[in-house]
Amino acid sequence: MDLRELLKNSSQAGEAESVKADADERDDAEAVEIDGTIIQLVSFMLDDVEYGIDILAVHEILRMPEITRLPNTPSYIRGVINLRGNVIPVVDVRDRFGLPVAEVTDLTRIIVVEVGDKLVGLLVDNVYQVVRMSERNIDPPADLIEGVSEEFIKGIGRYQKRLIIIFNLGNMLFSEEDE
Amino acid sequence: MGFSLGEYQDIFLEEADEQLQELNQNLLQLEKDPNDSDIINNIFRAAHSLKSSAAFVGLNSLSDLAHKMENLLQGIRDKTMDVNPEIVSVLFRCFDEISSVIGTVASGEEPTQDLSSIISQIQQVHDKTIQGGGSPAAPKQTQAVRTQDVAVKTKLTVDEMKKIKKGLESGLSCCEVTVFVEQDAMMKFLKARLVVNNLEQFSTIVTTVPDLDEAGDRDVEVFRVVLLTEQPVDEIRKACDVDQVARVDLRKISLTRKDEKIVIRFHDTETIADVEGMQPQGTAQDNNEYEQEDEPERNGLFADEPQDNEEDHDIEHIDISSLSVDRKKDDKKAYIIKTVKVSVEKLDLLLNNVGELVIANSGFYKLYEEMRKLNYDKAVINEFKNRMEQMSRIAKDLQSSIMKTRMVPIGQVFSRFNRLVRDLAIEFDKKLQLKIIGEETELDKKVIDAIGEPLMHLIRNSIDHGVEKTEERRKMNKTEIATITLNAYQGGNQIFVEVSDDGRGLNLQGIKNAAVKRGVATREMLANMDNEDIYNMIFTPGFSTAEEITDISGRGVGMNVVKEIVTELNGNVSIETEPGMGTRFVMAFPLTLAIIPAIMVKVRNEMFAIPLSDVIETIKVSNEDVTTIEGHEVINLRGEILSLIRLNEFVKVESALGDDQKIPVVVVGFGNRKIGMMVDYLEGKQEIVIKSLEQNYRTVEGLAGASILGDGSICLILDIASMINKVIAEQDVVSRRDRKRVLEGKKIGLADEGVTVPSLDTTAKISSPQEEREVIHAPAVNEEISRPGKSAVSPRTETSAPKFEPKIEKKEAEKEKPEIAAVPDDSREEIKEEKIYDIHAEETSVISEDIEPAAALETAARAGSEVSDEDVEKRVKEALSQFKDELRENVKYAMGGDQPDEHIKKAMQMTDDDLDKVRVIANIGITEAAESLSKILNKQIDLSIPDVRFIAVENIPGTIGDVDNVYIGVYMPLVGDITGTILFSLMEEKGFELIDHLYGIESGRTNELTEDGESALKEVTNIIGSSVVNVFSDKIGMALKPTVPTIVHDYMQATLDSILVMYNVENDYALVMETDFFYGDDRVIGNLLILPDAESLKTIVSKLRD
Repeated sequence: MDLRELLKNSSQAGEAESVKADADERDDAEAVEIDGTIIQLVSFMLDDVEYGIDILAVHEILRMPEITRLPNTPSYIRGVINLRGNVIPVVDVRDRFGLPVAEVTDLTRIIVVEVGDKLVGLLVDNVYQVVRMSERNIDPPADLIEGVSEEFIKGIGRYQKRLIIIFNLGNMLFSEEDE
Repeated sequence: MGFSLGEYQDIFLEEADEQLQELNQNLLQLEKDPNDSDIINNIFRAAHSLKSSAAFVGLNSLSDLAHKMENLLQGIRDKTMDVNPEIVSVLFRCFDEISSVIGTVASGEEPTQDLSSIISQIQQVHDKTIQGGGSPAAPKQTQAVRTQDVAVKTKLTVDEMKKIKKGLESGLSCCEVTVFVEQDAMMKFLKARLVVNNLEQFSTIVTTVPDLDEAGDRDVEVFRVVLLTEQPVDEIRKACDVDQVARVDLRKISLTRKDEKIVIRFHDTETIADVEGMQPQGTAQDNNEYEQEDEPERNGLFADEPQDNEEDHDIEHIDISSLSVDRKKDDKKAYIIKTVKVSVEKLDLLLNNVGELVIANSGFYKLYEEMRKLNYDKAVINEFKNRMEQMSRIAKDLQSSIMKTRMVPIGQVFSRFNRLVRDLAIEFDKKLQLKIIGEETELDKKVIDAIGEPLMHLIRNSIDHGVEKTEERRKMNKTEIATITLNAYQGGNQIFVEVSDDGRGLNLQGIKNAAVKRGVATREMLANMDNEDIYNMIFTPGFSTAEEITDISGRGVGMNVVKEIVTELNGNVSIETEPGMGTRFVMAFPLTLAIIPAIMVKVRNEMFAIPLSDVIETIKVSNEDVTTIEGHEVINLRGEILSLIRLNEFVKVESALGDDQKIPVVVVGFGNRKIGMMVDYLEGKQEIVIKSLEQNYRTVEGLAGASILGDGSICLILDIASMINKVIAEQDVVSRRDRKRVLEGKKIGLADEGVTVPSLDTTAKISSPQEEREVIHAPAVNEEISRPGKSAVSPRTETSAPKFEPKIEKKEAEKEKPEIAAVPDDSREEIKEEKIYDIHAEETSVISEDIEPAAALETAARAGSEVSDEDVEKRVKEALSQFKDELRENVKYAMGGDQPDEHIKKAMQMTDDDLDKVRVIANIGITEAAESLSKILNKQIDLSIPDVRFIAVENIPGTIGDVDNVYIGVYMPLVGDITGTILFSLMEEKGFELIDHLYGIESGRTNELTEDGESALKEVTNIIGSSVVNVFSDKIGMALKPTVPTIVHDYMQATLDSILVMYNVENDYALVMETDFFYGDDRVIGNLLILPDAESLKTIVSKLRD
């Protein structure tokens, strides 16, 4: 399912099958208030911290498929999956961030994102919802986020009363040292 | 127009490249045949197109150069100049310049080449050679006028009329030429100018419409020229034969008398050239025919005697028509081939998807099996099966046709080298000819793009080092002109590209010396290597330049590049050389790069694929066989130290095998290196589609990519080259002491079975093909049959052999053969087998020749001298019993890996044991047959141990013998408890041979199938067939009898078809016994096929189980 398509067509989008959206609390009211460029984020929770990925980079969201281990790669590369004939790598976001490993559950998802011309799967505990916010509500990364290295953070979005850490996808796949 | 990277750049580059090819090609031709006007025209056309397209993308300097070339060529075309070496070489230089400019553009830079010097060179040559007269005057500007403008009558001024009249009176003919330039042509005014220019060469232009000077640079689609000439129409047509001229019409103009006045008469319009080929051939273009009379007021000027050349005109007309036809035919060739250029990426994408389709389709087979188990309605299931098969056929067709679109004939690459060979011949002062064979052979586009460089290096090397100087050749009684041959052909699922020369061949000793000198190998290592390995050392990086080796050997320059590129393309390069006779480099490429056959292996439950092209053999070792040298595991494989990699360690999982289990080892090779890859399980062969990991990730060490299997899961493809390199990097050259320790010390496992133990004479025996096959002497058959020796000959036989107790006196050397197992692709196996023979043959010779105290020699000597005969015998016994076990295992996994057999087994619900039982009976049967045949004929008839296997019927013609050969077949239907047919088939000539023998006449006498011959063959078949059938009915306790034999003399396919049709047998599989019959020195090869119908085979099996 092409998520972007769906979201473009309707501002009420987000009921996408695979998007685990508490979308009912979606607030048109706020959307009206905000001005400036509006961006949409697919958000997910890791250990009580909410992270967001620009929806334009999201290709699709998958349930946990069979992953083939890829030897001789960093541990955060969980392996490769078959996405309709494409072989794409899967990054374990927890491992990448140095967070403790979590069990695979029914909620575990792979967010397939486009980074440059490559497709990469991000293994996350869940997909939470789609958030619309103005770019003006996004602050540059600050020191206050613990644990996650700055190289993965593009900014911090304020949404209602929540803070959403916005991903910098560019550094997800490769560490600087292994280039 | 400045230099720009416009959107047409790619098209320009591609076209320019083609045009250059054509130019080079044609110029070479022209050099040989300077008077061939077609060639000149071709060159001219190519040069002209180049000029236009260069101007179009703004490469003005290039365009200028091309223009000068064109001038020069025009001189040749118009015969004002002769082709001489100077012109040719200046033109070649031009091509090089152009090529370099194009190269610069292609690399994305602005070309800075200064072309003025070459331009002035052309000018000089031009001025020097010109014979005066016809020098192309500054072209008059042609005109710009739209079609409708021209459609108006050509109006002639008084002066022009006078000119025409004068001309006509002096015997010239006059005509009006209308030229239509293609609508989408670039720079039409140039075309017009060119045409006029051409016409001017042999005619006087009276006028042009529109006026050249007025038109300036405006574009002209249609223009007219009125001219006077003494040349025939043909010349005019040629002159107008300019690139992108769509049509040329011609109207004769003559003087005629009308109402007492001389008028100028315009005759019918004839189309003399029409590249669109749309006009009905040869017809006059007379729709707007008009007989134009001159303006009355000027009539007075034509007071002189009238001239009516109506008749002449008619004659001309005929000429014109026929010319017109020719022209159109030519044009068809040139223009009707409509092609679409598609980027390779798009094709790849398409191929990828179709690959997926094929794979997805295989999922249906699983579904089908499920459905069958669930006892659905049979009709539905059958329908499902039909549809499924139809779909899979379509998918496969689609796949192969898309694959074919990627295929490009190699001719275009080959023909490039004409030029190189010519240049090198001059450079090295050698007489050379290039012979090109198989230029229509198609290769994958990717290979075509990359193969130029290795070919160039190989050709260079052949010419530089391989081919002798002319005097030397003369001394050696060779033809003065050396031949370099480029050959491309398909064999099996590989494409072979060969570069061969008839020069002096590689110098083995020279290479050895150089290897030692350069530290590539030590003397002792060399002693262990066979010639092939030594020759292959020339591919080693840094193993270079001839001068540093000897003056007569050591190809080396660029050879490493050759190897690298070929390997990159999943190909292989091998060398065949014969001192004094020449050298042949054979590059073998897979038919397509997109799909490769691979051996599937497993570590625990993870599947990995090893490209079959990298696999040499598979063996099994036990843990005791493995020795450790400096921390690295090795085994002694037939006297050779083979480093081992444990795949499970490489992929970092625990092996699933216990310590006491035998470990399958896939011996893989890259370049001169071999390693053994220890895996948990062998899973058989599979065709896989390679997907790159780089596309979405990056290169991963040790992995060549991934592939998606039928069930959608991913398996990783191992990159053997990088793994071997890693091993090389990790382990230094094993010290001599350690090598010796391994070779001597370990007398277990493979070392025992290996060829190191036997004395030299047995090894030598193997190398002789006549000795390869174990011969059963019929009278003593029952004792002798048990030899598994034939396994050494055909890999399939190993499956038939294991049931028998090997005789002790069996030659040891053959023991290791069955180890070579489970590379399931038949043809490939055979190749490998041969290779291994060579190795042995040559090893032996190395050992016996070489004076160096090599490790192998020592070991061999030790084995021979230090060990007493008794010991040898004892060890042999041990080895043999071990071998038997090995063989069983090998059979098991050979069966497991061999898909057709697996398939058959499954379909028949047979186990390995069942198959073995059938084979035992078949063997006994054939032995009986030989015995009875010997008795009846009172002759010593020897039969080889039959190669018994099951083959799907549709595969028989392909598997047995040659599809293109006529066979004599004798078949006998079976009656009794089971039904089926026995077919004894011989190749036609072999059949005749057999007849000769049976009648005791001189071999070669029989050359047609007479009644006597037939009856002899029938009798033989009766004997053989009955014996086999009797054994079968004895052993399985069923009544079974052959009926009257019938002769068929036809192709194998036809023979089988007639049997199947005639008896309405629904055989799926046949039990095939391939048997050699020997009479003294002669060998007749016959095949005995038993075609039980499927039910009967099951009955046999179930009987056997009881």
